[in-house]
Amino acid sequence: MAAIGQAREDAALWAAAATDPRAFGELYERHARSVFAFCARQTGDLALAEDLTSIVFLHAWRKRRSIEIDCGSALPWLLGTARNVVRNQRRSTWRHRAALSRLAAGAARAESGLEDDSLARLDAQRRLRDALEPIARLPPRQREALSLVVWSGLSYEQAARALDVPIGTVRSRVARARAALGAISPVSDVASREESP
Amino acid sequence: MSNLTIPPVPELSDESLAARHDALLAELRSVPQRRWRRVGFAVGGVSAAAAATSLVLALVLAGPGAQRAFAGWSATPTHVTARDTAAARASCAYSPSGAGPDARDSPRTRISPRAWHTVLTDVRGPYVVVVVEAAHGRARMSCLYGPSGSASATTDARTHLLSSSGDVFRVEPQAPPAGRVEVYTASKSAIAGRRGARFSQIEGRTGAHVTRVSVILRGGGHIRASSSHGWFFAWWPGSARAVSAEVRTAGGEHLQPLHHGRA
Repeated sequence: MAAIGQAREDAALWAAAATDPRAFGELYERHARSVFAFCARQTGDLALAEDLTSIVFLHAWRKRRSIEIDCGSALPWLLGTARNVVRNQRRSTWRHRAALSRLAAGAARAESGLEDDSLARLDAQRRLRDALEPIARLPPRQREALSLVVWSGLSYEQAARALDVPIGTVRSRVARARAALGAISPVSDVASREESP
Repeated sequence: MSNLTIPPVPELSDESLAARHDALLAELRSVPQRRWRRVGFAVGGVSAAAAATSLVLALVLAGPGAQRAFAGWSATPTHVTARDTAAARASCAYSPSGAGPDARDSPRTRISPRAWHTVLTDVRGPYVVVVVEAAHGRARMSCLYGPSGSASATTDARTHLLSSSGDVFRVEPQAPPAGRVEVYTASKSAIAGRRGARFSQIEGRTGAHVTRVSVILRGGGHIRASSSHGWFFAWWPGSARAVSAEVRTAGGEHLQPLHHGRA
């Protein structure tokens, strides 16, 4: 979960981003990894997750003047947007295909001196899919709640904002997901702690 | 499942994040001029190449719709220029994953575009197929370029992406015995938005000493494949099935039945 100091900066950065792409760039640097991880765990596809992450930030850029960050951190809003983008992934990627192509080309040029990690990525992709296999059987709403609260580190309140549902709904979805998975693990304690005031 | 472990997602490195950050800012700065235009290409499915002797028969098998849709196509590969390969390779490797109506068939793992290299180029009249691979042959992708719309066959039209597809393999497909060929993928596709633009393709490995491969279609069409780096590839308008291959080695030619199951 975002620290209070960072949360204040997020709100300030978001306001500054209305006119300054560099401020928006800072938000990207701060949250891109979390958005990417969320998308990857929702789709099980690293390549698609990269595209969806780009779409989330393109969308955020377009909405920067009309959206207010009202709970400090921009992450809940970004992950809420990511959830919608993941749900409409085919339409989203098709709609933004030209921008995605330019972004991939631009990133490739910038990365041209870096070491080729193709094999490592293939293996990582396989490990991720294997790990997601049991989770894929959960209903999408439970999977989203579980992902936001347990793996993305949002509090129940933040997850409720991201999903635009009451906090009790998030709690019950996470609980049902855990019950369905029969899971008792160290990471589940994270959410239990955050639940406390 | 007794454990709620965190599904492992590889973290974007600082360098990679910085590269994407820079690309994003460049994109955002260009938006007022570009406005994220809704133009682009139709994405379908294609892969690698072969030799041909009976163009007329192949086109008859393809049907009148496919003939019109692929005007200028030839059953024998034509001359490949460096320009064909370079333009197609760059564009093919940069295709966004998940984009297009046939996105399910596109490579599901984005590999850095600089990691792809061209293994085969197949030119048939105004149509260019480029096959690229990465990760030591474990990832392959191919793109078909050609004239857009009903199409006059001009060279410049070769840069219009009509269709692309790819796959990621657990292990690199092994070569068949010497003098033999083995089908790796065979499929039928259609180009989105182009009535009657159905085509078929076949890709496989060639064993040692194979110097030429021709694909024989059910009904008698004869398509010469392009071959390179131990692979052959051919495509043709329509949906006729490839039933056998005419394989040439230094010792002569023989006919080999084609089995379409994946190796």
